[in-house]
Amino acid sequence: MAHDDDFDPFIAEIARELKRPVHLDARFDERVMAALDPAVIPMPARRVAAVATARPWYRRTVSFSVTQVAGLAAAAALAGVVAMGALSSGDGVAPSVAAARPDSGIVLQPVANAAPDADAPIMQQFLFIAPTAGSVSLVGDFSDWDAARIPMQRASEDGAWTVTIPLKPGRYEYQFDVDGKRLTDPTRPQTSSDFGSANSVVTVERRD
Amino acid sequence: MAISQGLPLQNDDGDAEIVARVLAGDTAAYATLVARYRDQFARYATRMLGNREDAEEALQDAFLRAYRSLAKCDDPARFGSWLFRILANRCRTAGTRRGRRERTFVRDEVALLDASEEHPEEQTAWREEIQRALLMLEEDQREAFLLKHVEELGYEEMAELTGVGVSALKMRVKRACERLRALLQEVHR
Repeated sequence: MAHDDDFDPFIAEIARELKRPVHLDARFDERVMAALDPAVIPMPARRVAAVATARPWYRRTVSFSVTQVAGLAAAAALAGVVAMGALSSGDGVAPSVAAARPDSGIVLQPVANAAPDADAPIMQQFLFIAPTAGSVSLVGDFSDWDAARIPMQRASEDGAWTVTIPLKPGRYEYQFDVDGKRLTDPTRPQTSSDFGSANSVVTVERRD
Repeated sequence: MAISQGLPLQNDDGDAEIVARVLAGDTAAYATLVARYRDQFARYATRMLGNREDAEEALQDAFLRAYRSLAKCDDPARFGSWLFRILANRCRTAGTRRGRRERTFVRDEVALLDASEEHPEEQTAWREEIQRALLMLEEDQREAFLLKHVEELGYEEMAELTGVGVSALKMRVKRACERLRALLQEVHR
C-alpha cells in the first residue's frame, strides 16, 4: 500500500478522488481490435528467420457481414472462417487475422505463407459472435458433427468465439452449435445436407 | 495475484497463455488482454493527460504497439507490466507534445468522466481542482505521484517500471505531495 510510514490524510483524500474509475467509450475494445494491423504478425522471434526464407507470402481478403441470427434475438452474430496458413513439419507459421471492423461489414485479412506440401493441412480460423451464448462448438463433417469434439473459445467480452483447426484442402460442411442449437454461418455458401437441413460450406484450398 | 492492489502488473490468470494464442495466430484472443487491462490503465492515462480523448488515444496506441511487438515480450506472464511501460512512454510523449501546444485544462472534461455518478457541485469542483493541480506538476512528479498514491505501487515496482532509482522516485513523490498540498489546501478550506 502507498500509505506506509509517510501516510498523510490530505494526500490520501486527493488520492481517493483520483482512484475513482474512468470509463472509456464503450467501443474502445472494438476500435483497438479493428486497428490491429493484419500485415504485422507478432511472430515469436525464433521463427522469423525460418519464415523469412520460406516461400513468398500471400494475402487474400475475405469479406464478412454482420447478420442477425434467428433464435439469438439479443445477439448480433458474425461468423466466418478464414484460412490461416499452412502447417509444415509441425512448426506452423503464425498468421494474423484482423478483428471484425465495426459498422460497414467485416474484413478479415489472413496472411500466411505457402506450404511446401500441396496436401498439407491449412489452419482455418472459425469465428462466431454470440454475446449471450454459454457455449459454442464447431461441428462439421470433419468432426462427425459431434459438438463435444471442437469447442470454441470465448475470445472477448463482446462475445467473439473462435477456434482454429487444421483442415486438408477440400470441401467441408459445417455449422455452429450454440447452446445446443445448430446455426449456419450466414456469411458462407449453404447447401442441403444429407439430412435435409442446410449447412455452411467452406472450401479449403491452397493459394500460392 | 497481482503484486499490488493497484495496477494489475503481474497476472497469473492466463496472460502467458493468451499471449501464446495470439502469437500462434488467434488474433481475436488479444481482445481478452484489452478487456483485462483497459479500465485500470485508462485511469492512469486519464489522470496523467487530464482528458479522456488523449488518454484513449495513448491507450489505444499502447495496445497496438504491444500487439506489434508481442514476440518481444520476454515474460508473457507479466504482460501487464510490459504494456504499462509502453503506455507510460506514450503518456510522456503525448504530454510533451501537448505541453508544446498548450497547457490548459478544459474545465468539464474530467468532471464529465464521472457524469454517471451523482455528486454535489462542490464535490465536482473539488475534483476539478485536484485534476488541475495534478496537471500543474512536473510530468515526472505527476507520474511518480500517480504510481505511488493512486496505483499503490511500491517503490521497487515503480523503479522497475520507470527505470528510475528508488531515491529519485521518493524525491519526486515528496515534491509532488508538497506541491499538491500548496495548490489545494487553500481551495480545500
